[in-house]
Amino acid sequence: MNNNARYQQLREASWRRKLTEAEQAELRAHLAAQPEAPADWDAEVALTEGLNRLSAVPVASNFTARVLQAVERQTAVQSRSRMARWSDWWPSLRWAPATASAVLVVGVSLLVFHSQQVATRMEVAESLVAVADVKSLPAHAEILKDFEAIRRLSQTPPADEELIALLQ
Amino acid sequence: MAHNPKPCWLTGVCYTRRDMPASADPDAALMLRVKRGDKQAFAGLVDKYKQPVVNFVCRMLRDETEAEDLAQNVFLQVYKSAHRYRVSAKFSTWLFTIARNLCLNEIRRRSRHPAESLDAPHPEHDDQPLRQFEDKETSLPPDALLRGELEQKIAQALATLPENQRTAILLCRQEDLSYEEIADVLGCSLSATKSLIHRGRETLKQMLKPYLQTGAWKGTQK
Repeated sequence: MNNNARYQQLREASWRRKLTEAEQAELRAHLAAQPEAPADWDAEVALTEGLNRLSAVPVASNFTARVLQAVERQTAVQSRSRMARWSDWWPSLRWAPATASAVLVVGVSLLVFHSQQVATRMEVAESLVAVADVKSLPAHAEILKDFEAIRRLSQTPPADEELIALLQ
Repeated sequence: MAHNPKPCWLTGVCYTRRDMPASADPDAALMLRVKRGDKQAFAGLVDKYKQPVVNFVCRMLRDETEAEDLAQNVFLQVYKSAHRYRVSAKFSTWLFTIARNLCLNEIRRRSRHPAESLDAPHPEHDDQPLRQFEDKETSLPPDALLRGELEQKIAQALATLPENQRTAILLCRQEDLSYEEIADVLGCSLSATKSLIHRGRETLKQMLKPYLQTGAWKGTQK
């Protein structure tokens, strides 16, 4: 570290506290080596002393009490403001539970009704399919007695045209 | 440890790389109690810091009348922001950050609404000035007069500095704030902070040269 940087470090230290013996010895060596440095150092010391001697500004004896009062006022204002906002909303909120209940009941009812409608339509559709199959049958039921036999009889093999031609 | 401050107004000065236990800073422990609604802890902090904060605000604004009111607002802001306080920095760093920001707001407000002239006549008695100030110094002994004059000169010279240099020099007087913590309040790096202090002091030395050269500082006792 060069001398100027070290001198700057010593100056910065002197702004906040008294220099140690070792630091003062270093400083003296630097000041002896630099002709213009002593005047600057004297000005630094004088300024530091002057700044440190600035008087404390008088503070009122009830300062803390007034701050606490201000805090109380602030807290009271915030509470009143929160209460005012709540009471503005409260009249409409009073009806909210009843409204919500009514909406819930109506919703559930609609859902149940819809489900029933769907089930009913399914039943009707199935019935229609069954009826559609039945409508081609004859009016009297005893015809169906030998249904299978009759059905097989109706299943005749195709005509033997070659035999028919020979018989003719 | 590398230092990379991220000033965060009202949420406290936030460092992502530094963890500080509350036990390392007794004021932080008090502030945590304030966060839980402990007004006694808050009163303790106000008592401890009212003088440094009033000094700081007064020197920043050059207005003793307003300084106390603004200082009260600083503590009020501290209380209102308590729920956001994090133990990531010293309490004093956070406190002076709030104080500095409120001072900046006031300075900006004054620049938009300049104060009325001290020479303006009183509306009802036009042979008198609007404001009258008691001359407190005429009956004081010579040493006190000299000390008063020197202080006045320093205060005047401080008031002419740019705000960041003035803040840096004033915070330098706070013994419990390190250079790193001053940098946090200012929102700049350590080297920039030292540079601000250095430049501010060079300007003050130039302005106060006649007084510094006479050695009038020496021998004046408080």
